[in-house]
Amino acid sequence: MRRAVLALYRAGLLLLPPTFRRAYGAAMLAQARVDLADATLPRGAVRLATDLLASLGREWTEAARGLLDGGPSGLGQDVRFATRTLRRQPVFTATVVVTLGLGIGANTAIFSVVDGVLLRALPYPEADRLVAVWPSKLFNRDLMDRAGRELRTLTAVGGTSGRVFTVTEGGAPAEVFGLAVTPDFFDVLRVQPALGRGFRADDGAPGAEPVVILSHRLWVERYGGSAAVLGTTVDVQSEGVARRTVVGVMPADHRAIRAGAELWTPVVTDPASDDYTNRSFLDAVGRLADGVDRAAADAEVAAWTQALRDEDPGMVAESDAARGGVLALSDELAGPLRFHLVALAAAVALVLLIACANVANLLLARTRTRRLELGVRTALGAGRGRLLRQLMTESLLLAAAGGLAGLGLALATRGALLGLLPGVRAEDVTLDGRVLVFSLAISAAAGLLFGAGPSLRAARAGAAGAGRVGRSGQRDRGAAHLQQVLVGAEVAMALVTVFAAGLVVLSVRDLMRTDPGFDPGPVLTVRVTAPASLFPEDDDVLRYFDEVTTAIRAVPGVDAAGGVGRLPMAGGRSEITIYPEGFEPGPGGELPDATHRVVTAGYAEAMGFRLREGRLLAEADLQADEPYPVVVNATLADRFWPDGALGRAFLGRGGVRWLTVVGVVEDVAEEGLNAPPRPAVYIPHQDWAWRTLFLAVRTRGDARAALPAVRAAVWSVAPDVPVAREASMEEVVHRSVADTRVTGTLFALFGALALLLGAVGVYGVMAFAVVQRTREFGVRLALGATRGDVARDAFRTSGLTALIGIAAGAAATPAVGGALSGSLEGVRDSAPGLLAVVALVLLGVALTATWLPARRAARVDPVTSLRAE
Amino acid sequence: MAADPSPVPPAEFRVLLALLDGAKHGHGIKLDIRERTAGRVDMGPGTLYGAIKRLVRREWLVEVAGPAGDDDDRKRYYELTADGRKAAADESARLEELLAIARAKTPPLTEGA
Repeated sequence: MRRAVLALYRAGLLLLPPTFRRAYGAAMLAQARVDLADATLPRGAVRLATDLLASLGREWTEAARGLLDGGPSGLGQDVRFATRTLRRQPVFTATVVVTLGLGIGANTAIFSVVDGVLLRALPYPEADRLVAVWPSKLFNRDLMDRAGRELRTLTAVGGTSGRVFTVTEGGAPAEVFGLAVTPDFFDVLRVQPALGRGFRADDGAPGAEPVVILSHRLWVERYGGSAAVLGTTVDVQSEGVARRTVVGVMPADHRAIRAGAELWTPVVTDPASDDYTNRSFLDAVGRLADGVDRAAADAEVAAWTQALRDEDPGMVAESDAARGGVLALSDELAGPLRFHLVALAAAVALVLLIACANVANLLLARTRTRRLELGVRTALGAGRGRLLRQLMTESLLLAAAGGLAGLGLALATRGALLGLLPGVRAEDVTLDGRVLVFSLAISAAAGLLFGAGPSLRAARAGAAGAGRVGRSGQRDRGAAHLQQVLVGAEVAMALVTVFAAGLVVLSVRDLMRTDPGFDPGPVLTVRVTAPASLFPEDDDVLRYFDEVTTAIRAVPGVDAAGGVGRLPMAGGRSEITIYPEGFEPGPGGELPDATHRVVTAGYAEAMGFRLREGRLLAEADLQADEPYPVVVNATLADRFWPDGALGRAFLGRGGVRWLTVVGVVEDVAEEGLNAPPRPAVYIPHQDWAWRTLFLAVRTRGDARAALPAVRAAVWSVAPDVPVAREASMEEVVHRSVADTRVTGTLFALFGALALLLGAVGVYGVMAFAVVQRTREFGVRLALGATRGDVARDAFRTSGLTALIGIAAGAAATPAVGGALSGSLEGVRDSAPGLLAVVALVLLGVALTATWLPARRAARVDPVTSLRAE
Repeated sequence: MAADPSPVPPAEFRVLLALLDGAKHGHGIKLDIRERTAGRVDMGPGTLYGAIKRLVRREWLVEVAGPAGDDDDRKRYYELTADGRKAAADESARLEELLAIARAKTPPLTEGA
């Protein structure tokens, strides 16, 4: 490990200005070795890195100042000269700047998102010490308390759970997303309200006065931004609580741990109740103790979860126990978006590399025509180093212009990009100093990358060609070789990018074609919460939804309507442990889990569930006593009762309810189009009177058109009830694959860009090679070669290069496919025929780009060509 | 102008001071500085050799042969020149003057109140 750090350090030393490095590099390396041996590894490495970075800045600044002060032979002169040269060749310059601008722009745009979402520290003190404790949703109150007491590597552990609140004052009634948190949650984050107080331990005690902390925005919008609201009760309803006392207001710049959260309430659970130990619903956030690193905490939590399971298998499921550990909070919050962004960053990096290869090729071609100039300058006394500096100045100037164009592009496309990425908070993505530094850095890197090869070659050729001034038509075999290598690499990279794009796009298409198990046809869905003030008890909630669905069914054009706790594919999981009749638990006493949905009568009909046997739930079932009649899906029925599920009974909901199967429906993609089928139970609403239900309304004609009438029907039962999350079922399905779809769109865009740049590159090199060889072709034609011979010959070299590039790219596709399918949900690792199609497309593009100049070669007029010199 | 010499950057001043009592190699300089500051100032290689480079260029330091018996050619020994000695003295005087002003104007700072 230390050796690796030293190797890196040695490589880093190469970045120092050469004079300084030659004088002190060896001494610095020796010193670094001693320093590293003295210190603990991460600290020593970090110190070396920061010292080296500081040193790089200092020494280069001094070196640059030295050059600028160098008078007529200095950098200033180089820059002026380069500007003049580039201005004299506007087409060349514009081509390079546009090419680089596209590459740098795409990278800058993606980086701004990557930076905002993944790299930037969360806005909490010492945010890098915050971790998410896995598995998520494991924690109930009891485990939460135990984690706080028993985990040594975490100083504090807090829990959160998303909640939807109904707010009616200060504007139209609306649903507001908020977080129920354990009282010490803000202490874990080390943030406190700007106004009032945070939560105290007794706020979470049963029977305590219900309290709430508001976000700054909600406070201003709904409560006039007045401090007088502190201590008063406001209408913030959830979980049967109608009014809460405002105890605090968060600072304006506080960023909630989950996007969109506008208020916070304490989790209230009675230690005497079942829920205290049974209901697992909290996501835990912890802060690492001093001197503890994340790996240590990860190991402790993993062991702890396993020990919990050994203590009581019913407390922690086997799959959960295996996932115990911690994750950096920032990574946890970025979620699956992380993988999409990394994949996109890789794609745009390829695009930039292709752009660099293109520019390098253009430069190579150009230096060949500039041989006269370079030769003259050498003859006048310019050394090779001097020429090199001049040429590199040109490259870096081009890179700077490209970088500016790229920044402009990134700025111009920011809105469109953010519109495409629904999971990204706009305020996280800013084109600020960090992004500026990034685009500056990649511009400089690009300049070095595309400029170094051609400049070195040109400087050498210029110096060597001093005595042969004027023979510009002679072919430079080395340069031609380098050009072919670059073209081959471009073709390979373009193939990889287009293949990746094709894979993502095809996967999205297939996902959208997956049978969801229901008919998303014209179905309108809305979310409604029974107002606690009017319907306080469970029976009232049931009555409320009964009245609401009845009212909706009376709306003209409505065929069916029903309610459900969670819509398919809309996110959120509800599961119960079941104990099916006749089921033999394994030696660990492990019981199966099933997806759990509370439904009202009419829901399955409205969604178009397909009945396999038995019947759907009816009105009468909703009045029945235990055992409750339930509908199960085909997977559950086949797994536990292969010889007929109807009439079978099982225990559900923590073993406290008897349920009897009255019907079996085909599997519905509850967890997403891509999720494997798993057992599901549809349980009548009265078993568990969820206060918030989604209503599914099947309509004749456009689903959305029914919204006003449906809303009116809801309000006919009780006014001031928010009708939220309105969407057609088709939209819900569409949104469930939004991340992958957006990645597909962007991939397709970058794939097209890669293809375009690749084609331009092949064409440019080929066209130039033909021009270079005009004289040769003329001679051969004059000596009796046919036009076909000449065209074939011109074709062969580039055709071969393209083929090699395609083969190299194709060889990389399995790895690319594996990486994509491993990180992006719903993306497969290969698609039949895709590679062949992509290879053919690239071959076609490469051949067309080759053919056009080759045809010109064949048309060369021997007489003119010999005069061409 | 000579009455008020321009300040010497802290890292360079520390290197000058470390060499006041005789020639040292790079690591020796670093150790001297670390000891005298009770470990608070611990220069990384880039800081150390950057400072040495600038001091050599100003001809305040010269590289000298190591003591007999030290044949590790990676160790490079440095010694103050007369100019370097003078620069260290000037800088000390300049800082003393500043400190005197500070003491005169903010008694609590020095009385430890």
